[in-house]
Amino acid sequence: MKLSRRGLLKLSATATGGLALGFSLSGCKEGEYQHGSAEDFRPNAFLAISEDNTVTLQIHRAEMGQGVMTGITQIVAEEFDLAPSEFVTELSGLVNSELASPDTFLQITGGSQTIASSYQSLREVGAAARAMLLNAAAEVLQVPVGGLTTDNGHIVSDGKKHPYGRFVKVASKLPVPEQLTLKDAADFQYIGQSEQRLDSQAKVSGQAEFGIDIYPEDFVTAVMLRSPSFGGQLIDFDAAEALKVKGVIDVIAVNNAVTVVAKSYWPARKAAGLITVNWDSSATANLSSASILAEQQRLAASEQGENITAAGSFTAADGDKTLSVSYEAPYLAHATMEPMNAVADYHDGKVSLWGGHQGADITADMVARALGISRHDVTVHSCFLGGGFGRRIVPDYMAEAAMVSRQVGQPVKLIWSREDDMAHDYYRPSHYSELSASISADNKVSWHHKLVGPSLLRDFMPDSLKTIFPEWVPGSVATTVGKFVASTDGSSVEGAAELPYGFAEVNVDYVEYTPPVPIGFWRSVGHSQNAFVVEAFVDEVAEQVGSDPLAFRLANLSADSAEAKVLQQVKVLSNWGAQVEGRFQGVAVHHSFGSTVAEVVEISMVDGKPKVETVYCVADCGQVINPDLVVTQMQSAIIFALTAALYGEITIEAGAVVQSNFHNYPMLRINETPDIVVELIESSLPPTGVGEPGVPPLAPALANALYAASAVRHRSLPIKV
Amino acid sequence: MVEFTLNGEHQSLDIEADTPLLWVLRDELRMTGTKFGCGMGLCGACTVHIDGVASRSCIMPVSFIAGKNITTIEGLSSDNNHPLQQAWVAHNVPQCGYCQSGQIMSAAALLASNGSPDDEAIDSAMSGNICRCGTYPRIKAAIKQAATFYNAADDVEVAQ
Repeated sequence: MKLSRRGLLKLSATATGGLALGFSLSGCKEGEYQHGSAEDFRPNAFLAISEDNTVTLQIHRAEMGQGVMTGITQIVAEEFDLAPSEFVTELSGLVNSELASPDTFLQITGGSQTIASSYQSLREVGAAARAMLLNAAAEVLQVPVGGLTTDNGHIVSDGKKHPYGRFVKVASKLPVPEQLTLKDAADFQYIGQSEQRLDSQAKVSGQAEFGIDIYPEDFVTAVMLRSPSFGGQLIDFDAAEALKVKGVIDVIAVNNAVTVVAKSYWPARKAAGLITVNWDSSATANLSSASILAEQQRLAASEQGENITAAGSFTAADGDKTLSVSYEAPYLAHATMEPMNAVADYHDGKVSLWGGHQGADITADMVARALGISRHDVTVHSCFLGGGFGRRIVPDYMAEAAMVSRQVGQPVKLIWSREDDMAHDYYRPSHYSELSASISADNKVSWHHKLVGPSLLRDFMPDSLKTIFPEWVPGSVATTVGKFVASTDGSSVEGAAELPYGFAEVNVDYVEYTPPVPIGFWRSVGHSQNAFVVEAFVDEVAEQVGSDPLAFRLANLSADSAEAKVLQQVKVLSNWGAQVEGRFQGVAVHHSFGSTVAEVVEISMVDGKPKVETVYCVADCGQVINPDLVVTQMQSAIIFALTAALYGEITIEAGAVVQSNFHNYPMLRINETPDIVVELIESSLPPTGVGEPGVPPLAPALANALYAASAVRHRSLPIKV
Repeated sequence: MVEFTLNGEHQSLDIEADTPLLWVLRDELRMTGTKFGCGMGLCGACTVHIDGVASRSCIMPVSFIAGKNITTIEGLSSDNNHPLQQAWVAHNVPQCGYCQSGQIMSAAALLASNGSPDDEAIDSAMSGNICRCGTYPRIKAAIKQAATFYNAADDVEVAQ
């Protein structure tokens, strides 16, 4: 593969005089970064090679368990020719703006796009560094470059091996090659291999550093009491008893929250329990899950909504079979194992932050705006994330820590309790769908779907645009543009707006309704509820047609579609329709984040309750970088989705979240976990998403299996039997 | 003053009696391998051994452990090479990794009492530990591999 891309890679010297390459990951653009100002971010090297052969790779995305540290390293390793385990990896903070995602222009980790959007560029940086070392070696050794090869961190000349480090001084003075030759896939030695995770050793020994593990010098610990109800306002508080707790330093109001400052966590938490707070909770006093559902139903009946999809035509005739049903999905919390936390050190108008986040630039910008300081005065350090799943895209906890630090004039470590975490999440939105179908005598299908759901992006887009725009652009401009950009909110209708099935007619309408509940990105976002609605209703239609659910899908898919391919394979893998006596199967297929996944859920019924025995999964996600890590993500997604399908429900009463901890917001445990069998489609197409696409098919496949077992349709999540 | 043994070393601390062991480990001793997950003994992220028994340190007042032997993830093995740690790495168990100290400590207590745990025994010993990333299938496989290692080591001892 030949490339010619001027200005892609940028050369700089390391502090010790080694070779350092920074580069643009936004492979679709050339030249200068068009969004924001280059001075907004501190440029730093992506790959640095020192004379002592230390090769340091910046990991510009959040490692939250999905394995980006390993995947990114494997890709660079392939073209650079050095074993992945030989790299020193560093979790980068805010980096050169050119490391932003080409999709969002943000240095964000989300949307399952790290590998998909960086694959080509990561290969190029590895290839460029190797080419420069080869050129340098040719100069130093006085041999033609064509006679040189590389072997795992060495230049090989006449059978003699020279470590890369020997040539970095010369290499750092050479131009970045304009033409790069990338390897043929047939020659891959690391890409496509199940390399072991690079972060395992640190994570099995308790040495991996999460945000909560940061202990700065001379710091205080803070816990906050926030309004239990959404939009509540602090009136006053009585902290007399709290201040008597040994170790408590002060109790202050910060950002509409009562904040206990103490020498460590336990006295802070104990004292927090002794404070009486008066809140004005009138803003959302009448808000409840029941009121939200009632409004969703009212709007579905009264509003036409925006027509998202209108395809095909269907003329109704006497004798057509018709179906008309509704589906519901609740709010969901992320419940990362590591509760939100952050360390902030504010002094002299500048602030440094440490913690787990899914976006260094969003963090810097949110903190800057919270403090009214410049982005240039915010330094963001990154740690391992004890789970993300979309929660840490909103770094509200970082801004809180920064505000407390400024107020107390000391470094602050802010720790949320599990209860704080559950009550103050940015939740997966609640959704309501009405579906109807007509099926003609010759089995032509018309499909009508009306969704009622909130605009997730209407709040997020203005904020993220403020992050992207240079600071001189007024916030009000970003807000206006952001609301305009978000006017048709894909996140609410994704996975429902376009069906893979060739039905005679498809009509999808969307009614926007955003109750005053904070909402955010939850693993697989809109797909998480829309795949349930679509793929469960497809089974209902199949039943009316009198067809086997899997056969019905195949009959309505184009034979060469990714959906048909994964369905055919999962049919074989699951022994579809020929399962063991007493087992019941349900199937679903869904395309999201560029990948297509089919799942068959196989259950048995024990005392009238479903026991999930086995989940079969076939995924097509293009070129696989690390097969075993892709399998782990499918297993992870299936367990995450099964937790939600069986248990996940955040309910709201009087404007506040009812659930508080794992006793009333339960997680799937090891004894409830089914066998999970995963197969990956072999593909040489570019890599697509892996972290999220395993989530959407699970809930509908489970609902469909339950129908097979009990002849009862479950149209509301979580599935309660 | 509370006295106990932590990973083989004597500790003597002047600390409020109701402070949970978890926060003594983390905030006083800066042993950060043991994690805070729920504060109610529901998730197992804070699991340590108290006299060899897997226990939730987030709900264990430090006064209750006076005179006892505490082992944390940092003290499980001399070189982070406990058979469970090796098996965890070999099976790519950790994802975000936050719960894994607790998972490994629960598994270590299991193997100490049952060298050949079957699925049921693993489920029973490990069901107090939540993993949000869904690493359970690999945890099960890794425990079985580590058990094989244990048994092989026993055989060697018997043979000698």
